Amino acid sequence: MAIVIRQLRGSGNNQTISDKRIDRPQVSIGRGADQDILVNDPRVAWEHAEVRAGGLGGYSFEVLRDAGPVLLNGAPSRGSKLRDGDALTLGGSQIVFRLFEGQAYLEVREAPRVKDAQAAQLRAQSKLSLEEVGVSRRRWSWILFLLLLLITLLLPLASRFLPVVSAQIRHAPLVPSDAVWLSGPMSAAHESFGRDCEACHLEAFEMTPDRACLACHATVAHHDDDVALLESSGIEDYRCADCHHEHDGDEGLVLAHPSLCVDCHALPGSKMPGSGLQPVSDFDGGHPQFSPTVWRLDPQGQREAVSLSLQPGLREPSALIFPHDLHLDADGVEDRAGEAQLLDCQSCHEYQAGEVSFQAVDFEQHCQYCHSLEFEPSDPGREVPHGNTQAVLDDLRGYYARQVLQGTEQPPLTLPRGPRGRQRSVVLDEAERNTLLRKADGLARDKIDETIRVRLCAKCHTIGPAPQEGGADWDVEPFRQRAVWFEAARFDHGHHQTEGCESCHAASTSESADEVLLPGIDDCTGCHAGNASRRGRIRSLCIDCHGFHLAGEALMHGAARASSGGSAAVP
Amino acid sequence: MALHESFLSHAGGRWLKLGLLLIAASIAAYAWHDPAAGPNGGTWLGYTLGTIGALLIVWLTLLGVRKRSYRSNLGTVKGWTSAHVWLGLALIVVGTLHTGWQFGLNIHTLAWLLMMLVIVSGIWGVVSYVRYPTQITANRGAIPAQEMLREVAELDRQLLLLAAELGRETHERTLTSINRTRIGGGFWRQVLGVRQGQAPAEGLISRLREELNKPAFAGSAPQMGRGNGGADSGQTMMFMASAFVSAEQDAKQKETRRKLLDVLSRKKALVAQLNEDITRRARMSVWLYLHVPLTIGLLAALLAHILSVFLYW
Repeated sequence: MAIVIRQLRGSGNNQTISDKRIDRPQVSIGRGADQDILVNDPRVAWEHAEVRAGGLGGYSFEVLRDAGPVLLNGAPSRGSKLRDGDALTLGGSQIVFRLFEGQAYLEVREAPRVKDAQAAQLRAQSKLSLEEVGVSRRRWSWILFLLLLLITLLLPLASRFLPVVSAQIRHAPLVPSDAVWLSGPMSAAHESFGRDCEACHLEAFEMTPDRACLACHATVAHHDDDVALLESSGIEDYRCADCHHEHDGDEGLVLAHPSLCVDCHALPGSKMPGSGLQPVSDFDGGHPQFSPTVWRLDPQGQREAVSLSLQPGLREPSALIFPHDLHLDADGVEDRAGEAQLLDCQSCHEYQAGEVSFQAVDFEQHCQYCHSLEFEPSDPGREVPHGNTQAVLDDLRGYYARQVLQGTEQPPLTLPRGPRGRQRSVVLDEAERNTLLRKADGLARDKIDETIRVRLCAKCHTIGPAPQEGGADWDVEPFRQRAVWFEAARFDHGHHQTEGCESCHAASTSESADEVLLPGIDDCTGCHAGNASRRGRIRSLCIDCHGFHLAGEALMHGAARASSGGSAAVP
Repeated sequence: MALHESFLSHAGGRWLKLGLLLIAASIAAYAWHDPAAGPNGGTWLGYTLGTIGALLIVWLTLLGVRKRSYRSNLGTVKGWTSAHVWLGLALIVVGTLHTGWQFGLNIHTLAWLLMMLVIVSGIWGVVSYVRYPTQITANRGAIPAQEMLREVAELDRQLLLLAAELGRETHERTLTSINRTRIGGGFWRQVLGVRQGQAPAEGLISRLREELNKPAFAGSAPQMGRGNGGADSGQTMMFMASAFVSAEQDAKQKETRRKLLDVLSRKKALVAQLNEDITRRARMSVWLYLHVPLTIGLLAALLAHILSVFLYW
């Protein structure tokens, strides 16, 4: 593998050419006298570079050790493969590599004069600014732009619009899908839809429509049953998502902000003309006095439910004689054995399971321990049943009939004797039976009228005129007290246990069960502020006590409840 | 300080005032606004702040276009830069209030984060432009870097001519030193100012000093008082050869060595100064390598943010 060194001197017609054939596979270049190509220039090392023949007819050059780079076609290089026409510049010489019919030539000539060659070399091996080091702002900008575009836009778009892709990437870990678009944490209730965006976002670029919500929440009650009023008030124009925000954790799911209610309810006269509602702007200072729903008797004596403003002295005709003050006496009350029993509110008012409200007071459970229903002094321990006048009457009649038949009742019962003076069989004829019945009923009536009516039932119940089968023309009036006084509000007693009962209910000074022992709004605002001015009190918003979906019949957005049975109202 | 003062306080601080006004208005509106769902980007104020923010981002990005279009009549580049800085800073408030302080692992927060990184890198840039130009001027005087480079090259040329008189070994070493001279360097070397490639020059300088102080030359080199003056164990070829040359040649070579040493020292100082200049200028502009790509990345994230918000409205 020979290489021919061709020295070119002069130019034009004066050019001389001299060839020297090197029969080795490498040619040395340098300033040393032993070099194949001698470049006599102070910038060139004694042994500067080598041109080598590789296998398969390829050629390359390499700069040796510490020698400076040579210029390969004008660019600094320390070694490279050589192609036909490549020019190497060292000091003042230029060596052009030629490959002609399989023969390699190195044409050596004087390098074209470079002005200030030393400066050019130094410049070539220096990088004077960040612009020269090959870190391109433009390239990094493009890389970042395209990378972010892919992650934040293209892949999510693909998972939105290409079902094939979404099936693949939406549930794949670490692969960006439209889940990266989630604007915030899902609520616990809707968390399962977090990777199923179209469940709610039915159409692109369309706000979540109500039909997406109603797909599950079809039985949600409307705000009110007066649909015409709802339409005129504009509430029909609201979307579910106007009040129920998703992607805001659990907090946004039921927005707690007074404006949601107050926007209409502050000005019911203009927003809801004809509704008769009072204006509400804030719980503290902008809320009317509570209006409990209580029973009232109409002129015919029939009870009717009315909503009355809670004024001092508001009474509900309960038909019960129960002085709270007496029962809450600090010295206790006497039980039937004459011993003092110290009572408190929980003695009679026991929480229901869940501690939201209370169980109904039960005579057998809460009263009978002290209040005996014994009716016959000669028969202690025998009591009439409670709660059903007819059952009491039947029980008493039966009891005294038995007394009569047993002959224990005075005057003793004497039956006419039969023929031959023998005791007759117990089969009585009609007249005999009537005689016995009259006697027994007489005894019973006396007991009912005089003892029970006066002594037992009437102790706690008002007795009204109501003819009873079997002679009595009175009856125990039914207990008339609303199970829930605040029908349009919620109150959770369990959450208020830290407060004593008396701080809201003035029971220990109440002489009558007719008194409605409810606290007024002023009792609440001691602890509960509204939204505006709180001064260390609890911020309390409309929905802390009131629900929105209150209608009995109408459902959200047009539909009416199919069966008016159970209340499916969502508070 | 005249230049950067002028871009920050351009037109009597017009853009500073406008930026402050924008900040004050945004904060006031945010404080007054009480949306039902809490502050977030989807309220009317959220959309307003978001629109202002997005338009600002696009417009601020256009500085990169404006400063390249020399024929533009749309205000001066200095005015644009002033607006860019002050309105860019106001964007911290506008963009952050737009979020309503709702942050999460999503592209919306990513867009905000990129915006903040762009602004922080921009603040870095302002600090750089205030800090480094004075340092650069103080370091290099009024001489341009190219001129300094030419001077170094001239010294190199002198070095080679001098070294050629001192035999092959010295010439080789000098040539190596010149070939290994690296001015500037890669990205991090420029920015951090890490200096390498000085070793050949250092080695050559100490070697020349050593040779000048050797006993054979001691009498004629009193001015090179540094060094110990004693022979070291490793005698060089140079020394061996020198021992046999005539006293006249000795004196001449000694003179040449001293010249070489002198030129080498000048070169070393000049290269150090030039490298210092390169480092300062690199530090002055390195923030752009964050600012620009992050800005363009921000445009992608912003596009995704806006599109996705309305696609899944």
